[in-house]
Amino acid sequence: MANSNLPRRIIKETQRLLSEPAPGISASPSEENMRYFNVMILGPTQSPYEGGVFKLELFLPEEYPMAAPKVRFLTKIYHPNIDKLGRICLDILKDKWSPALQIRTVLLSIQALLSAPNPDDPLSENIAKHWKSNEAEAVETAKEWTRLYASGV
Amino acid sequence: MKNKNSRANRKARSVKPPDSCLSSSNSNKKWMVPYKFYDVKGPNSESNPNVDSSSWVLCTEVQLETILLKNIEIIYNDTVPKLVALGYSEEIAVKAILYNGHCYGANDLATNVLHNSLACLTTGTLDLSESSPAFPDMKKLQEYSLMNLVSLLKEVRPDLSRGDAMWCLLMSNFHVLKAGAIPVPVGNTCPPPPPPLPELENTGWRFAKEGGLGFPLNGLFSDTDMTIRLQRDIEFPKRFDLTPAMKSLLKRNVAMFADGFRANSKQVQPQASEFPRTGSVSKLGSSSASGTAAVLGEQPGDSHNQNDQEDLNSVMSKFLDLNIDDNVEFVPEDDKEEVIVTLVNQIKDLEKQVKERKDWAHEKAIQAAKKLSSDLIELKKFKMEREENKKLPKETGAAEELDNPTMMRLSEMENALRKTSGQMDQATAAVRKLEAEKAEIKAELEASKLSASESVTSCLQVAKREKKCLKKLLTWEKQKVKIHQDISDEKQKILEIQEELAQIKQCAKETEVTRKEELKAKEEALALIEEERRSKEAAEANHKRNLKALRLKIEIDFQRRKDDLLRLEQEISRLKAPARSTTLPTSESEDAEPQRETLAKLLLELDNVKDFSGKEINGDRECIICGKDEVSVIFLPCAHQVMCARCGKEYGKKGKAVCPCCRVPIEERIPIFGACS
Repeated sequence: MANSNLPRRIIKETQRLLSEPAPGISASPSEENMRYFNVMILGPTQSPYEGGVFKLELFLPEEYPMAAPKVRFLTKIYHPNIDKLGRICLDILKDKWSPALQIRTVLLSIQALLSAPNPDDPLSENIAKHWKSNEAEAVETAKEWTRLYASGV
Repeated sequence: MKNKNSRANRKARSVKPPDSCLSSSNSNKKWMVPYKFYDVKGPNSESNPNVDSSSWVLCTEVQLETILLKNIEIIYNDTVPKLVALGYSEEIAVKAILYNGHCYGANDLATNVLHNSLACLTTGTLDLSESSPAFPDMKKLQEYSLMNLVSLLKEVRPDLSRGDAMWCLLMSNFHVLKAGAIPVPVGNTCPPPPPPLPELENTGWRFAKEGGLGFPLNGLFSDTDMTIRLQRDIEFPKRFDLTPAMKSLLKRNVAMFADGFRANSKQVQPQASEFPRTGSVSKLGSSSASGTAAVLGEQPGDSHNQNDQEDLNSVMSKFLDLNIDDNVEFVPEDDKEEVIVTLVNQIKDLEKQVKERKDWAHEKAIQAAKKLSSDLIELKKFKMEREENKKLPKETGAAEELDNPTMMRLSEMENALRKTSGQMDQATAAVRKLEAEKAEIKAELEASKLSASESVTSCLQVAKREKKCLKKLLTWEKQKVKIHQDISDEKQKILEIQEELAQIKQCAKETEVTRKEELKAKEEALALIEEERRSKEAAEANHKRNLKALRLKIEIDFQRRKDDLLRLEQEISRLKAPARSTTLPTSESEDAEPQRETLAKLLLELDNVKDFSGKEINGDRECIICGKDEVSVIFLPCAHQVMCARCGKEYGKKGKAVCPCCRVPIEERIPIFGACS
């Protein structure tokens, strides 16, 4: 029923994601709800999250594309801009959203955030402090979390 | 053309001689003047009693002249101390007198000289220091003034002679007006009163016309020239501003007066004392009087110009004649013409001699007339003296003493007159002889003119002949030109024909060469043809053989293939049975899985296709919101086109007036029209 009422934009984006996936990113809609996507992002190379596979969920609200999609990490991750619940602090997912942006561009931005944390705009204050005070140790913690939670599961 | 050029050259040459003739004639005239005076002395001088009588006669005029000169010297010498008394130095005073101390004026000579010199000093003191005076000596100035005074009296009273004029001046103490008023006691010879001015002008014109005709009138004309010259000399010194040219003229005039004075003094010596004939004297006097009256009526400049013009006309007429002679001279083609030229030259020389003799005779006559007039005047004086002596009886002793020498003088004068009359007769005889010679010369001239005219006619005929010859020459030259042209044309034709022959020969050679080549080519071609025939025959033979071989091979192959087919059929029948038994279960199990996968894909594709059937738009112009319609709105000022009309409106309602591409605030939305809208 829901699939029959999908806007053409969502259909086109889905088709393109399936036919032309971005490198290190895979997104597939669920069979029950075409607005719900199961996403897997590989940890970027040369980053503490390298070698890890992180699961996320993405949901397209009713106002999309006039409203930003909703994205959340399902895998635990030690990152100053991502909290325990997996919520992401990213400007384009909030006030900087624009209809010109797409699912593809959002996922690529999140992948970029893993490569470049931003402790000045934190979502998890403790991790941000740790990251600022002792970045090396924080990086090691992130690597450890990647091995514990993002490996193979 | 050549003749015309030669004629022009002749004319150019003829122009030169008259100038040389003018100069030569002028020089001759100048040289003749003193020579004549020497001639006058020779025949006229005679025995001793003449010398004695001349000394007596000279006493009167010479005494008067010496007396007058002494008085003039006294007057001039008195003026110098008067000027010195006025405050001037002696040198300056003397220069002033020499420069402008003339004897002209309305008063006595002394007062005139004083006033003129003072005028010069007051006006042109500086000029005196710079310029030289007109007269070098006082003596010359005195002589000049005496001569001018005498000439003035003669103008006022033309009947007076030189002696009478001197006497009147002596009586009046050099006052010209008073001297003019003093009467002379000679009643019979007085001329008639002068006519009014307009008649004077008319008479002057007639006199000028008649001047060039007769013998005696020529002489009188010369007298009038002398009087005119005197008048001009008289008027110039009155002007205070004398130019160097004028000064030079004054010097010349002074020299001429001096020469005239000397000549007159010499002429007086051979005079004779005899009473003249009253008739001849009256005639000469009347004619001279009329001439002077005419001159008085005219201005001196005008008369001078007229005389000059007349002289020029006469000279030009002579030169015109000379030009004619020169033209004749330039055509001395024959001996006769040469003789004519020599005769013409002789005629010219004779004419000159005649002119010279005429002039001599005229001068002699004039001199005789002057002598007669002077003698008459002296006789009158002596008569006056007798009357005075009779009136004064108290001084009888002195009178008786004077009567004796006066009677002697009278007798001497009568003798002189007789001699002069004899001289006149001789002169007239000479004139008659000259006239006879003139007639002869005229006859010769007429003969020469006739011969000249004949020569002219012959020249004209010769010129005509020359013209005819020239025309013939021109025609012959034209014919020559034509003939030369014809010859040249024929030569050109010959050359052309020769060229054509050469070309024809070359063509013949070429054709022969080409024929030979063609023959060779034919032979070669025939040989090739034969070879080709042979090769064809051989090829055909080989072809046949090959065909037979191929047929055999084909049959063999066909049989082999039939055998092969049979074997294959047998094998196929054998293989069919085991294939059926072995393949059935594997095929069923393998086909199930891929079918499922493919179906899913197909379903997805179909779903997709259903949604997008027939409504696809270019990706570049697709709305980013709905993904369906074409972009049809421009956002300003960024000018991005990313939405369709409907989405654009909705996008603005929620208050998000920012461009989705660049986040620039949207100030204006402009609809645009594309192909789909």
